[in-house]
Amino acid sequence: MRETADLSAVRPYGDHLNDGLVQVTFTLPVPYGLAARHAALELARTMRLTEPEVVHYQRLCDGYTYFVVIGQCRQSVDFATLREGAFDIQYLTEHEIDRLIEEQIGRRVVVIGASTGTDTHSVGIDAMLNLKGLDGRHGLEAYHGFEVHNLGSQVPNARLVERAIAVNADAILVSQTVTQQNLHLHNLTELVEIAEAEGIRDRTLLICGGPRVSHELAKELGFDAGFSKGTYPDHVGTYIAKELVARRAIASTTATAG
Amino acid sequence: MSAHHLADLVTEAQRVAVIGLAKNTGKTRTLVALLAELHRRDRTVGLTSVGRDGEATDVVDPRITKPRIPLPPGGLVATAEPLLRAAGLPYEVVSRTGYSTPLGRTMIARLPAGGAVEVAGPSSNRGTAEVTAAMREHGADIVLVDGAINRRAASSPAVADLVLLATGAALHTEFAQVVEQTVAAAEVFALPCSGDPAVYSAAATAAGSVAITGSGAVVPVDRALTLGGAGADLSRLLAGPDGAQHVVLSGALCESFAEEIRRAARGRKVSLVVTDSSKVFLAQRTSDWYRRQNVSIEVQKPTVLAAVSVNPVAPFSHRFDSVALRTELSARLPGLYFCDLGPHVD
Repeated sequence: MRETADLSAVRPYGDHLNDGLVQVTFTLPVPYGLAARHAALELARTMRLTEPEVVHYQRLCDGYTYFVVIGQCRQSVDFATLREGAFDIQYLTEHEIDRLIEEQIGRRVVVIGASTGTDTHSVGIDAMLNLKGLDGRHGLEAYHGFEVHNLGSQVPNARLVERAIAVNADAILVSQTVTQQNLHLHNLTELVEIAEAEGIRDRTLLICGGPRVSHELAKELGFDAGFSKGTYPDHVGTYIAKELVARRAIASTTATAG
Repeated sequence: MSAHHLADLVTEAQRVAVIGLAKNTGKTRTLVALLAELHRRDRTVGLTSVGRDGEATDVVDPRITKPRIPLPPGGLVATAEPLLRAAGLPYEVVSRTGYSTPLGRTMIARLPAGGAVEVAGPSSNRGTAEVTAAMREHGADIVLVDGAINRRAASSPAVADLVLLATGAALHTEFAQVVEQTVAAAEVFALPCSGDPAVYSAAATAAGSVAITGSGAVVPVDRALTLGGAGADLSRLLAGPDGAQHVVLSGALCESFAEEIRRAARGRKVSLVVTDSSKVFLAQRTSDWYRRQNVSIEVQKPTVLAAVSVNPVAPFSHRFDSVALRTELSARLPGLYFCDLGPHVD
């Protein structure tokens, strides 16, 4: 019988459960040789890897050496508490999303998107919304369940909110390349603030995406969800459809209770 | 002693918002100082955040460690359920809300023994007002609403009776710019109430934004104009002897609209009236500048700015002299209380 993992203390799996084996690869700016190998092992120990072993190393060019090191990671994470976050959602396929919208919402879900402010990067938003999609997976425009409005790049926040109200959007998607400069953050918070000022904050899902966007950052910014690298249109589509269905269920319970 | 005085200022209020002008201006520190002081005075505290606060390190710059937020024993908190469970503290569930966040659904809990919590309540004003009322109902004498980054929505009188502002060196590398930006923000909080009864009656009956002309006619103003951005043609709205004297906005006042109004009014006096100061979005020009151009920005409901905390340190960047900064701000904004809740680390 297969052993089951203790989800409150999950460790990396190498050859068998809980052995904690990990492999790290890195380059050091030191010449190839035994001293370099020694340095790599020292570094692995400072990473708190126990019993580190250099399984491969090679000269990259003069003064640089590349390493593959394996070792044991004794730390664990508590998956049992983590998995209960809002994003432990089972992603649906395009067909399943369309069916969920048809059966539970009964009309097309309106999604509007843009790259806002001075941001000219529309690759992310185009991949999510446009027919072509990403990596062979359709953008939301191709779904029967979605009505999509893509305003393109460098759209002022006020204009995006105005269009969102005009088309009665269920969800607003923005993409932004966030850096440590306040400017990018302030452009994202401005959208949330204008949506609040215009009275649509509670009836519109606000979703941001970008290479450095996390759930934690999305929450600080005031968005309902944040998507980062590795996101496909069906992920965003699943979130929108499921969240709208969940909100309808809560609204109807409250209405019954009241 | 400044935390003591801060608590004096807020102690009679029921709902207090702590708003920052940018990240790392000392919002969390202000909150922590206030919590400790209110606990000393035996006030039962409720706490919520429109963002997320009490985390160990900054979400944008992980080099920055942040103060933890110790909730006093018996305190109430509105936060995402997974964050509360992760804190490992004993808690009693007061109620579960319908508000979801990227960190999980929010709930209200009482912490009999208190402890350090991560706070992430509902993000919207409606949700914040709802959990604030619920915590008051369940015994909180005072509810603190924590803002996030530079978000000001929670300063609305619909959410808070009183506002504390956090500003500091993180706003800009130049001392003078920190002063100017803080003064401009404080001026927005202190925008005057409209003195014209016609404004209030128009606002009460209109479905959206309206203009009130010299003869008292009320004309609807489309959202495509108020939010439409630069180039919106407002000359018709303002032209002629019976042009608009007041524009009563139901939502946001954006800079591009204020600028188009100023241009179209050609020096004639016009007032732009918003419901409250959290609806004003100016970045290029200050409200004071518009007033000097005869475009006065007014509110229907005032915001009470009680005090400003000043953090003279920008983490991993620069620092200013705290006394000099507060002296300069006091000179520009007389009557407002400024404090530094240091020590600050960089």
